[in-house]
Amino acid sequence: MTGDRSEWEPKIVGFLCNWCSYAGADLAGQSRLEYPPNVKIIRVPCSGRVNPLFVLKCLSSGVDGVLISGCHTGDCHYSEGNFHARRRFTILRKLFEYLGIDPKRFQMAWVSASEADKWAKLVKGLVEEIRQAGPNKLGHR
Amino acid sequence: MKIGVFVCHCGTNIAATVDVEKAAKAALNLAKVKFSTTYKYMCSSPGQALIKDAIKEKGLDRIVVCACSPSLHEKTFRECLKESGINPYLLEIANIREHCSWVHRDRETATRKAIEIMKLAVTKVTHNRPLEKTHMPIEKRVLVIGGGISGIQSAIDISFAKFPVVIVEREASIGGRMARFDKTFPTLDCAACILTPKMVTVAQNKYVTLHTYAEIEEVTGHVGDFKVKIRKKARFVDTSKCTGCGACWNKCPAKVASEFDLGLCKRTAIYTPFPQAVPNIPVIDRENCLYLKSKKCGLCQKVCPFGAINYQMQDEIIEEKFGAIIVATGFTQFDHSVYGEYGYGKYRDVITGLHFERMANSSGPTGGKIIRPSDGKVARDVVFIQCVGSRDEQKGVSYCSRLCCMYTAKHALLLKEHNPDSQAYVFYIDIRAAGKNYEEFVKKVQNEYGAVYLRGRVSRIFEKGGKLIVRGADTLSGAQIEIKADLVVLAVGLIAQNDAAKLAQMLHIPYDQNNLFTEAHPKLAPVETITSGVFLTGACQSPKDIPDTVATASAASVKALGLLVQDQLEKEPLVARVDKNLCSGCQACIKACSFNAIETKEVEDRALKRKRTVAEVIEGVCSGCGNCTAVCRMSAIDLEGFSNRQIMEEIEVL
Amino acid sequence: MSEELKNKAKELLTNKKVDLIIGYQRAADGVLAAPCFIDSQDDAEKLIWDSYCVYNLASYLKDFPAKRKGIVVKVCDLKSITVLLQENQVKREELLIIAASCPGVIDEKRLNPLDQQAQEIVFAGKCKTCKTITPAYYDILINEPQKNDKLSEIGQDEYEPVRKLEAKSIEERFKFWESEFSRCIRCYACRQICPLCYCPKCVAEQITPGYFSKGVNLEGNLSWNITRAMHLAGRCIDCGECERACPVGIPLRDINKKIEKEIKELFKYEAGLSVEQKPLLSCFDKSDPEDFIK
Repeated sequence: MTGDRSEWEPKIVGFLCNWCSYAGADLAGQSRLEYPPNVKIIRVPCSGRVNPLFVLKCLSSGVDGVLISGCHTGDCHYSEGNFHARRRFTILRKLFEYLGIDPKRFQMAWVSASEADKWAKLVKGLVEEIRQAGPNKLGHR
Repeated sequence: MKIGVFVCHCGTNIAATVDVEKAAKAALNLAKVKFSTTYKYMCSSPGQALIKDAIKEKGLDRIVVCACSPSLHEKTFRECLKESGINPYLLEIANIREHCSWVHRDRETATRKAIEIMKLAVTKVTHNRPLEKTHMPIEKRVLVIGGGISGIQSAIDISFAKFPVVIVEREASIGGRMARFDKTFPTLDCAACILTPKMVTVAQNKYVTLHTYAEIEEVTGHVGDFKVKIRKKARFVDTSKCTGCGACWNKCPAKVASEFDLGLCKRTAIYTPFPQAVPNIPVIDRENCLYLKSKKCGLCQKVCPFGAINYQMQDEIIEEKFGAIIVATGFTQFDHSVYGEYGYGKYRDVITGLHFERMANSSGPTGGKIIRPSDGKVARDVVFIQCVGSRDEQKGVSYCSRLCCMYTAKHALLLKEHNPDSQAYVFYIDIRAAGKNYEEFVKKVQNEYGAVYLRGRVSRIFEKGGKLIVRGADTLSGAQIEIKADLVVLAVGLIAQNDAAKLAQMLHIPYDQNNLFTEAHPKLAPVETITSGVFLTGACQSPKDIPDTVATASAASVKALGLLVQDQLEKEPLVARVDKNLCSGCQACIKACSFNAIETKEVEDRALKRKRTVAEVIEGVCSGCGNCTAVCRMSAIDLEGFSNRQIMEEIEVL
Repeated sequence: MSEELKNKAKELLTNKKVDLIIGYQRAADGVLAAPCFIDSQDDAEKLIWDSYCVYNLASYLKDFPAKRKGIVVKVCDLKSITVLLQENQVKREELLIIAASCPGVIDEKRLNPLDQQAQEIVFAGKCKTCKTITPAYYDILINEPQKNDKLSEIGQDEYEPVRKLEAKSIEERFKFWESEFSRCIRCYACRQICPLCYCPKCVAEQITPGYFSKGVNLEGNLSWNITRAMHLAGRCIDCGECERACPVGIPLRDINKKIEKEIKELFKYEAGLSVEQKPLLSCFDKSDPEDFIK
């Protein structure tokens, strides 16, 4: 999967919170909404579970884009996890930008369990954005 | 390690888009996978039997089921593993339906993705650990904080199930706000008639202990095992001797404004807040008692036939254990002094709804006469102003207090009944009468009792010729209105108790910008809090009328009983765990935990030959959100079922 | 001033107010200062205090657990002690803070090793924008000189280097940091010197799981440097020791300052202000910005 851009397909990892975003993606399935297959979902209990180290691991393993998706603020199943995640990843994202890492490669979203449509659109948009950003050159793959 | 992979067709739901046979074959190329197969409906009995047989025959010890979302059948398959003698947590679900076959059309693409999803699950299951649900003992007693109608109802409900319950009420009597009301909307039964029997019931109940004139001092521990310090304020009256005969308060010479009657009359320094007080045992108000202030007087001690007066009494702090806590601390009134234009404090005849209740009450300070406090004359023209403090982001609170429309309508009705020649004018913004028979009640007040409803705000109130001139706008007709009123009644909003935040912090429950306690989920967990074992009832969560308050009281009781009837507390074992060798004791996790589920622990550090403080998770309290793991710089705290290693390796295999 | 310090130290040791004093002594080269650990009256003579006392001695506190330690601190060093107290790494009752009013310290890297004395003092970057002389709290204050006159640049924008980088295009920034990080040899000097890097086992060295490449390569170096920066977010008090210790001259302060600037702007948070302060990443505000979240 190197070099040739015509063969290249964006590889995206999505960390989805179990209660809202994962369920939102479930609903997208139940509603038979079609979206590109590029996002690989890693289920986590809460967006607050996501460690910046995971994001780094993705980007340094040749993943082209990382998405963290959780409940809307105020809806967190654990009440505050997404608030913690928001602050944590706001800093990481600022740092990425500063170090010259395309911020498109690291994104966050709030997708509720009922927002199947938002999920499908989010994936489509994300894949498009990453496609434009091109392959991630940081990774060893 | 022998992993078995089971790929479900789900009829054609999966199989139509995903080449399940190819997926099952691909599984065999993955490390440690010893067996794979497909079946039409893996969740069906034959499907489950297939898994069980394979476990037995092939000696499988970890299972991946490629099927629908784990939210649907994770439990089913865990049970299936358990029945086969494998730890139920050695299972992973690969969601190849909702996240794959249903959202992709191209068979090749979907199959490739399904295999990738399976790969993630196989990688993850490799590092699953056998886990057991944790069990904790439960202290089978409930603490109810607050002895208003909410707390009383909770205590009665819990006593029905024969569990001991303790009510802590900071006033000298239980009864709360409702004890001050006259009649209740929309049925107009008198508050005392329905409340007093409940007060007596609760007092006589052998399962209920009342601590009146007492406050919560400290709460530690967690669900099943709360340790609570209760301050029993010195009453100066020995409750074991006093019979409530009243000899003391009849002789007491110190008179001060009665809080219960909002200063509409006086009480003595030794007093019960109201005649139906439960317990009917007075307290001495230490600020105003002549003896306690200056050792003069001592009359009550002299007249008490039972020797119950004890001026030397001290506050006493008792400590008790509880399995669950019900918070029923209620509300207080909005301080409307910010509305200078309404002239409260300046004009004695501008009062609040609660003053009106006391006046309308036949056992109240005016004996049921609705009069002008300034001159005692009967009030004829009365203006009611709604939304004082409510729905006003500038001066008050943004929310609707929910009751004011209804109690104002009730006041307008009572006014007419007490003073038949009177006329009520109600300034309102919207009428919110959403409750059983509420709308009908308001209509009745308007149509049968002739209350004039004016939609608009009052801009100014001033005194002229012994009357209050109320100026306002009727936005429906566009007319400026001026009413010469005898009395103005402000429908002030309901707000959180002044010390609500302090209590919330003690209980580790969240509260909102208005200091109202926050429920665990606004729809599906309205009486729970995120702190397991702490429940909410009544207006401490949001303004509520009596029916809603009683309903939430019973709901909270059921939730508390649901805990108490268990032999032990059973908890999902997917909780955080600390590797004490990696832990620096920085306590970032403790501060980040919303559930107060992490505490410190001293351990002996063999390398350093000294004691070290590290974090330790209280398994029974941990909710498994994993936030602590992400704030831990040394990755010393990890989450079962979603461990750092699992997630890192999942990323690696992608 | 050194005299005052020596006398105080003697007094403290004689009266057994402390078991030892962590301070500075003249280094072997006769110019620079090196840390010293004084536990006897006689040794107290060694103590010095001047612009050459560069080290942040807070790093040494953890080496003397359960001892009553006197420690000589500057304004910036004290802030790292505040963070250590906040994070329960030291006990206040075991500490005797000897605050030295600070004349600004030198930039060691700009000293000509062959002709150190003749050279005019060049102050460290952090001192050029530091307006404070006296630490926020202390047990003993060694008072004296007002801010050195040579620090004429005080008041300049402390974030100027950060802003310069921010002004570049994202590609330029990447090139810049790629080249900086390409020199990283993963010696972890930045970590060893940092008073706040006290983890029993750094994630960089953990194996199962391995959080990032241990090799000297772009992804490993980038991951390490980002991890280091993130782990100091809301904790770094800009003592600048990491940058000073870095043998290959990576401008680590420019990273630390970037985060410092962002959290000040985004969360109104400054590290090391009080012991009671909640750690930046252990708390949140419901109104924290989220404009990048979809």
